[in-house]
Amino acid sequence: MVSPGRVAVVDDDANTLRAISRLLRVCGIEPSSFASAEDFLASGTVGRVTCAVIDVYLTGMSGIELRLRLSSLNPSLPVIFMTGAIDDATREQALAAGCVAFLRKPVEGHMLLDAIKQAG
Amino acid sequence: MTSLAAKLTARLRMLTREPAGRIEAGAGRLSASQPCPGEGRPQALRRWASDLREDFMTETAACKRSAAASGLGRTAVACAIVAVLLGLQPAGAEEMGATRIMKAMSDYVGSQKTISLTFDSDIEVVTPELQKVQFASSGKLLLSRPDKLRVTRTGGYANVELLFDGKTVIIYGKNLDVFAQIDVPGATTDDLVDRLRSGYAFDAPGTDLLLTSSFETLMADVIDVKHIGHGVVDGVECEHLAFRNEDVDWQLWVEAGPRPIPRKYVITSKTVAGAPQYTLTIRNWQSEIPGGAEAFAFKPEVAVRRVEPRELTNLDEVPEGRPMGGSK
Repeated sequence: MVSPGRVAVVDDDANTLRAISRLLRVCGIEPSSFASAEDFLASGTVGRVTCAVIDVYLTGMSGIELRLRLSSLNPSLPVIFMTGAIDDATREQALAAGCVAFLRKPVEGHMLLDAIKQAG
Repeated sequence: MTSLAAKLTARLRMLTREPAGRIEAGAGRLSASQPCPGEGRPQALRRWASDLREDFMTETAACKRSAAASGLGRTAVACAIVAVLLGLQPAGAEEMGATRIMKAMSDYVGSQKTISLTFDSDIEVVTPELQKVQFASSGKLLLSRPDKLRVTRTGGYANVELLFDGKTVIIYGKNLDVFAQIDVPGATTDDLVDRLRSGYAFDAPGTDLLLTSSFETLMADVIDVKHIGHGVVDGVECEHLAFRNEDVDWQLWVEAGPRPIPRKYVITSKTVAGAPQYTLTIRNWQSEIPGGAEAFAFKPEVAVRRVEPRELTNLDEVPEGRPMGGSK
């Protein structure tokens, strides 16, 4: 069981969003799921989540752009990026924006949980 | 043909994230010096290539029908060259057959004014230890186009009902005696299904199959299509179709014969280790049945408390925490 706390999950693929959220649920973590960066920012939960798991390539505002917005809204919020892209440039952009972990899809459950533990 | 050239250019710009002007399709030609679109992003490249093939086939067919084929030849040839360079073959009968069956299902379902059905669903979770666990639920659905829907879903951890009467959506947690109400004036069942994909506490991915034009929605991001063959679901012969998207693979079993209704739907998530699946089996399909407004009215049998939508938790088929017992 991972330490409790609400974790935001942002991914524009509905099935990925469900799968990641359910993985967290069975591990005792209540997810807040959002299909876009805009939905997350408008939800009023940015200040209440303990960690955000964000897909890099989102429709609309990208995950990197969302990270930069979160830096001003909730500077201490730990961010975990996930992506199916394999290029170094994306990884460097994500690390430069700030994140506690950069996970490649398919996301390994134990790696995600370890990253959330590290974030906590 | 201009539209094809424009589409190619736009797709290249999107994949390579190049500003306008850096990439030009110019009469359908791709520059030899242009780097492979989406380099490092093979899934995006496959989707682009699939779109290109589809466009090529469409345009080629149009050429054959048109007496002015000579005016269209240059782009078609260019597309053919690109297709060959990408190792693509024209879509076969298998792909065309699957697309035709999918369209027939969409047209048939979309033409039904009212639909009643029952369903079983299995949601798979792959734990961090890579153990697969399925959570099973059953339910029933009543739909009356254009703007009424009632879905119940009962599982081991939640008993949920969704009611939509064209003005409001009620999400009723029967096991918690709470409900949330969301005003959606003017919305249709298609609008609601779109909204159910995210943001609501009621998850129902199979409702995509019931859209008035499910073909367009389900096929939008498909990069590979196969007609696997035949299968039997609940004793009924079905056409077995398989599709690939960037993030998911999905399969559909459509009843063979004059009533092409969906019988089974499997979604495999490729973005999570262990590739968890969602399986939906549809039973007792009935069409054109009477469904008055009272069938969609919210009439709880016990005292219930209204909550804000964001307060609706623990309604998912997968419970919070691991109800898996101890390990030996």
